[in-house]
Amino acid sequence: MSTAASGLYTGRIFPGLRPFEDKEALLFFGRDEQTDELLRRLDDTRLLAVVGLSGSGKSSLVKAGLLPALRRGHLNVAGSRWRIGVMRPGSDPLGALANELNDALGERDDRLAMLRSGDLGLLDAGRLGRGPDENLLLVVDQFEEIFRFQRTEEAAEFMRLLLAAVEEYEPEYRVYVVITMRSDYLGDCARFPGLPEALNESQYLVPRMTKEQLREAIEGPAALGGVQLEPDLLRRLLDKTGDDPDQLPVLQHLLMRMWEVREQTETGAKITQKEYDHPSVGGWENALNLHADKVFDDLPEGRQTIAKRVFQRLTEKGEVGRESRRPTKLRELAAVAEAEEEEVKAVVEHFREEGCNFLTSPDRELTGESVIDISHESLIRRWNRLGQWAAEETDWGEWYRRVEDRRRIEGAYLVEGELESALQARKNGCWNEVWAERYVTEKDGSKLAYGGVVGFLDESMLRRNAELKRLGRNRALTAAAAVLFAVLAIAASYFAWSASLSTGAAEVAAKAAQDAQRKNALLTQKLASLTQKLTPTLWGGDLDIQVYGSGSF
Amino acid sequence: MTNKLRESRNARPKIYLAQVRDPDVKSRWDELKVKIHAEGYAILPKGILPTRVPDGQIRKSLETALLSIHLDGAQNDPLAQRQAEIARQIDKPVITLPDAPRADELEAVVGEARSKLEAARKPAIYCIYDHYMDGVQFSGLFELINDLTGCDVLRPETGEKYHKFRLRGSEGILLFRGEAPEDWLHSQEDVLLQTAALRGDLPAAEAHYFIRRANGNPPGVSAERGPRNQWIIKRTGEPNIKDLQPFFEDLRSRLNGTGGPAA
Repeated sequence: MSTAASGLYTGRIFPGLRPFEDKEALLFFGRDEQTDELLRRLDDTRLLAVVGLSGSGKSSLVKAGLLPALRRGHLNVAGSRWRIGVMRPGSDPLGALANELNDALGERDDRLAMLRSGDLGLLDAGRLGRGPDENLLLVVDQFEEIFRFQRTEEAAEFMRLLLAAVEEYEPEYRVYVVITMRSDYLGDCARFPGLPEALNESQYLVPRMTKEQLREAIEGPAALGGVQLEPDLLRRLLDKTGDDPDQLPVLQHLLMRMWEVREQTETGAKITQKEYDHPSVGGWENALNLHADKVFDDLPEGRQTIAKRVFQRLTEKGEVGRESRRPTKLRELAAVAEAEEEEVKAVVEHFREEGCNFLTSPDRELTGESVIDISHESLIRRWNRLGQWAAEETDWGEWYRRVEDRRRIEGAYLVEGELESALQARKNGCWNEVWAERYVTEKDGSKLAYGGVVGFLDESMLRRNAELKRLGRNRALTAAAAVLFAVLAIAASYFAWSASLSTGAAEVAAKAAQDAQRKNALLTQKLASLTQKLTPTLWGGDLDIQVYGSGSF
Repeated sequence: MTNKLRESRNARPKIYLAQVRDPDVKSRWDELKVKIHAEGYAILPKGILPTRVPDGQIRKSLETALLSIHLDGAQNDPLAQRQAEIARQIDKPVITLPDAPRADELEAVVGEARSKLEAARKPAIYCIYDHYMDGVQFSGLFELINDLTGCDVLRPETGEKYHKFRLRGSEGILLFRGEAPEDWLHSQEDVLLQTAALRGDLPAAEAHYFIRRANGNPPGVSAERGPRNQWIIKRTGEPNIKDLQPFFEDLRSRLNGTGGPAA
């Protein structure tokens, strides 16, 4: 924490797109009433489900609202000594839980084994490494990942551990559990016995912030940083929040962008409409899209390709409105993108720079094991380019699954347009074994190896080619026969034509001769008549005139 | 501990919210009750008043409250009318509403109540400490502070909901720390910094009083200004009210209108 005379805090006062972290409680304003309500409910049940739409600020509320309040000793009876673990279930919830307990309570090799030992495993594993007056709080952020990763048995085991830990109350070793979950996954909770009942008791649906609360969320950090928002701009922002489901992330990102522009232009202690309308900011509607495009365009071409693959891997398009993030290890991202880890690291660093925060990782120094994540789902909805990539990726994945399904049916090779589309998807989607892991489905406990699936696609292609070849031979023969036939036909026509041409000429000649003869006769007749008329006058006897030719005069 | 909790709960400013029977307005009236409670006030009367409740019982609750709120439109509700009449008789500051407020009017009602109470209340010093770790060590100081300054001494409650509210409204803020965890101190410092930002030009007089066990070291005290001009007072040994003298001087300047803490 740094303070200065110009403001009480120097440094970024708006975190941008990502949720507030525990250590940023100082910048977290406007949600005191919500925090109080969380405390009340947690006190009642020791299990609290913070539920809300994507963008409602669940994670921020828990991390920067609830956790500091607990540390201040604001939970009845519990006191101020807390060991807190914040985890995401991901694809290995038990492993993640063991890691988090190790972080919160100290490293122990047997933590995972204890968790696996039975329903009370969390109580046992959570007792080691803390004193009797210390509370253990486990925050399971993005709880819906449990439903996405489809490892139902491990997920069920994880659930049993959480529920048992809060049901079996041990006054000296209290365990509290807080989960954050998107409300559109509430129905999925019925998959786990006991979970719906527990949630009915302990659910907190995060309400939309009121205008007054939003005002404080804007003005509070600004006051800390020694800046003010122009009243007209404040009104404009509050109006824009309206019914926008992404109101909080978009607002935070926009505030960050305006604050940055102000820092660059040093327009004084006020953030004004000028910053809002600045072409590089893009206003409420376009700020996120514009900024993300800019960050992407700043990458050299080769890294843009990697960035595209990285974002596609980190995005789950899902059903409409169920866009979600898909945190992934950097090593896997490199394998999917078929790039060096160092290259992928550079791309990730580029997108997680301070003032950008489109990608996040809990690790300061990235390694192959670092988990990379998109900072907020609103980026999937607001960055047009990413929306398009995600749609493409979904399409490629669907084609993979389709090929996989066909592979399970004996002899059901792909043909014609279907084959063409699958081949196109494979080419554009740069399928590889690691990429395909995401789309592999298990049916009847079996899953098909990537090699088998693409081998089947290759086989379909070979069969198609062979078929084409066979068809090609037949076509050649047919074509040759057709050509021969055509030649013969032409020849026949020629001869027929020639013949008809000869006949015609003779007829014409005969007709002309006849005409000439007729005309000659007529002329002869005319001459004879003329001679008769002239003879008595000129010669007085017969005039013998020879007329030549067959044409008329 | 239970007694201490009760005692600290009793430190909340009390508002008498007249009870109504009319089912048409009751639900909205209850929303007002929730809102007032959420804003950091204790609500009186406790429980549901029977229709034939003695006037004395109503009067007793009204006398304890700093302000009472009534519904003017409750013409067919004898109990509501009786409560309003008693409030007038004892000359209690009153807010009378023509109708049960809608959800969007609640904030305004609470705002009005706050202003009335603010105008009537004594200056307050908010003493922050960790109940669980330092309660015993510091509890003896609070009465002395009250005697010395004449201010109301507010203390945090477990299940605290009004922490920030008190921080924003108090003329003096004293943070005590002995054995409280490091995390406790950091989260309190964050809130104090937030409060200072929101209070702008009207900062409270503020001091942080840190006690370290002597453990063989000679007892002693030191005082210096922190980055926000708050006093940082460090004591080795047992806490002593005299150590807080620099804070009291700042508080006096503030209350006398000679400005905030001296730089």
